[in-house]
Amino acid sequence: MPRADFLTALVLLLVALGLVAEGWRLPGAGGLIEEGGEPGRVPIFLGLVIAALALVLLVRAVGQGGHRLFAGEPLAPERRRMLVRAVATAAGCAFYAVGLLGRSIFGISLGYGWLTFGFILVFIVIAEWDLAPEISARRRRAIESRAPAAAARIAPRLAFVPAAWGPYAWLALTATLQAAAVAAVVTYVFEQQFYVTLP
Amino acid sequence: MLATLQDVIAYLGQTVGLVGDAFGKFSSPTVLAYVFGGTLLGITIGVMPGLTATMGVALLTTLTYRLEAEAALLVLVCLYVGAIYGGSRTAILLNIPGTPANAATTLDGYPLARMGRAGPAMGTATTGSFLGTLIGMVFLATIAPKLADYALEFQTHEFLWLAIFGVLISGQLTAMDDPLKGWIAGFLGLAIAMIGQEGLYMTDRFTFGFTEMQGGIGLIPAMVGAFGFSEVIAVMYNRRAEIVRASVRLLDVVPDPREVLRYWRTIGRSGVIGTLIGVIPGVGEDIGAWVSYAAARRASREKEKFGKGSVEGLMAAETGNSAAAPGALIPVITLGIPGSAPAAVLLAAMVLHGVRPGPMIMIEFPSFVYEVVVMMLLAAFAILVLGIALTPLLLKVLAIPRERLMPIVFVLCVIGSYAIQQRMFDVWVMVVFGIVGFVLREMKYPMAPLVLGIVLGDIFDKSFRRSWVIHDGDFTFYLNRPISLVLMLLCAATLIMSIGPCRRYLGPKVEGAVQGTIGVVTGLVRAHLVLVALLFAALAALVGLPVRGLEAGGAGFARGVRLAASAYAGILRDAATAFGRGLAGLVIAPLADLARFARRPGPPSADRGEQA
Repeated sequence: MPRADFLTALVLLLVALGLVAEGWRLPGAGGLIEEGGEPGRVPIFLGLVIAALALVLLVRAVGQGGHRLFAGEPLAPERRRMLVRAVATAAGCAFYAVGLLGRSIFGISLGYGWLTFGFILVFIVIAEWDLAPEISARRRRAIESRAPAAAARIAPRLAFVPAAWGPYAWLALTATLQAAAVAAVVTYVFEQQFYVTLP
Repeated sequence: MLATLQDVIAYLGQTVGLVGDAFGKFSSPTVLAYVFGGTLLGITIGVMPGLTATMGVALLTTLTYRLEAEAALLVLVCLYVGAIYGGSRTAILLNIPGTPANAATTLDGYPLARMGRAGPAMGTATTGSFLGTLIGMVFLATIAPKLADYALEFQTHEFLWLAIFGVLISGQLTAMDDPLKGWIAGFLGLAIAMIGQEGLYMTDRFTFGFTEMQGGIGLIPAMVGAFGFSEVIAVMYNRRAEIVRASVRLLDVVPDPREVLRYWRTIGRSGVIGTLIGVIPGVGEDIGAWVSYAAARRASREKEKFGKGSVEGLMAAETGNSAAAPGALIPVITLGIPGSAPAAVLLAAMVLHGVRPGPMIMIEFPSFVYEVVVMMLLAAFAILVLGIALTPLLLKVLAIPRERLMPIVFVLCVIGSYAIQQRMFDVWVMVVFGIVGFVLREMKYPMAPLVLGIVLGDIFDKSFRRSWVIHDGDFTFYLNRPISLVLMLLCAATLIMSIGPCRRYLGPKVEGAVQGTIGVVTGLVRAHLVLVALLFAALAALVGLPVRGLEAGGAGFARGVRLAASAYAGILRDAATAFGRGLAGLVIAPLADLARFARRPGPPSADRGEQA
């Protein structure tokens, strides 16, 4: 945390500097504004307060060794995986919202419904990919314990799917159904009921 | 005094009448569908860890903006109350608070579940939430109209200091371990509110030439990002794949009325504390629950059970957080300042639907306060019914995989941000706030002060500059205005109490003074109740004169007077002692310490050492 605090304090100092600089630059409306009512006065005040708070954070972080940015142990593998998941989620979601919606790619403009269908499908498949075998085994055990006769009848009919592919095929099928249902319902509600011109 | 009593009774009667009138607007079957639909959705959102009340209210605001104002706000209020209650299920069964407001519930709820008493624990939580909402609702109905009248006296100076105090106290209380980060979040919120055209001279600030930014940062896209998209990232960051298996019989969940009789003091105390904490700007339900829990523990005869499965502790936490929800709406309606993060979204929703919360509310929308009271009442009954009837179904909700839910939440975040003004700029705002919100939360910056800052930014900006113009930068003027002065002193006290050594030294003394003040108030209330009893006794004795004879009536009256006078004197004595102790603790003790410190002997000098 001290390292993060150190970096945050530096970013906050930059923000404060920006507030003061922009506040200073703002016009006084050609002398029409009375002294004290200038639009830049409050940004300058806030910039100074944020700078003071950032300095306290900086001093505290330095006191805790936060300025030694490359010292200390490397990230644990599990923590690294968590970070990768967070960054991938943020990047993927941002790409769908800002990079795809309302834009044409290579001259092709997909509608809101298709893009939303694709987004949900890809999200679920990527997020559940490593869990698919475990979820499948749990589901099989549940069916076998609750309805053994039905399980015995279904198993031979699914024999054409290789055992290793089974969990992933199920994942793809259910994700497709869910994505189609959600995309259709959201599109219908907002376009037909709320009269929103979808992006 | 009788006149005062008559006024109070008349005011309460008038309030009940106005609430009754407001009921008339909510008596159709459609309304019932909205109530149960909104509350069920709220409970479902509360049950799922990772989905919060703020996120639910923000998303549903965008989904209900086509409804009529009353219907839309009814659904949102029901969702708010339902989500705060729903989180208790997860806290009891999984030891994970369903919403941040239920963190204190885990302390005793989960141990009770481990003892095999999950069902009764859920019943206790239902009772606490129901009664907490009712207590908060009573305060909302009685205090809000009076506060709105009082707020008409507020001028630019008061609003300036109220904004500063709101940011400071919210930063202090929501980041208890590190107020510095709470204040940074609050002032960043104020800075974000500077983006766009300012309200006095229409000058563009921080727009960087983008016309979309002239309107400023929309509160709803920002909230959807900070509480919706950031939750999506957080859930994927802390992914857990456990499937919960819990079986609870329906009958176990039915609240036990004996608990209400047994813990009526705890319920009353927690309800009042929760409501008062809710009223403080930007603090919210989670702090309401923690403070109520701490107060219940301090006053309990079974302190040792707290944290190990205490029904009283669970009741206090759930009553406190549920009472904070109506409490948080009191400043929203009367001052336009939110008491919590979900209340900030409700404030935005009210503005979206044409209601202008603030000091003028009782003039422009005189029935609105009572309509909100009725909404709260309906929501309270809905959680009672749904909380019991749908227990097995709600337990199944816990088993829904997060990986299936999060893409749907994000799709709603996108379309919800876009739909209100139908412009992609709001989607960008949502995405930026989501990513920044996630990073800030991971670094332990609370979100509530940030949101409060964004809401208060405009008020702060205008008040700061207006008061500067009015008084030519002479800030001694604030000292002449009592409310400004009180708010300034509160700001100073908040800053002083955040400094470690000051807090450690003054903390116990302030606590003593508060206890003393509570003693004084309690003593005075009791004394006045005795006076009222005395008056009634006198009246009864006088009325009894013709029947029982002058002598009997006179003797009874004299005895009554003696008894009442003695009780009144005793109570006043107790109150004075408590007040004296509090005053001594806060003022005299530090002065005595200071004098002792000044008089203390220095280190023995070389001369004295030689003499020795």
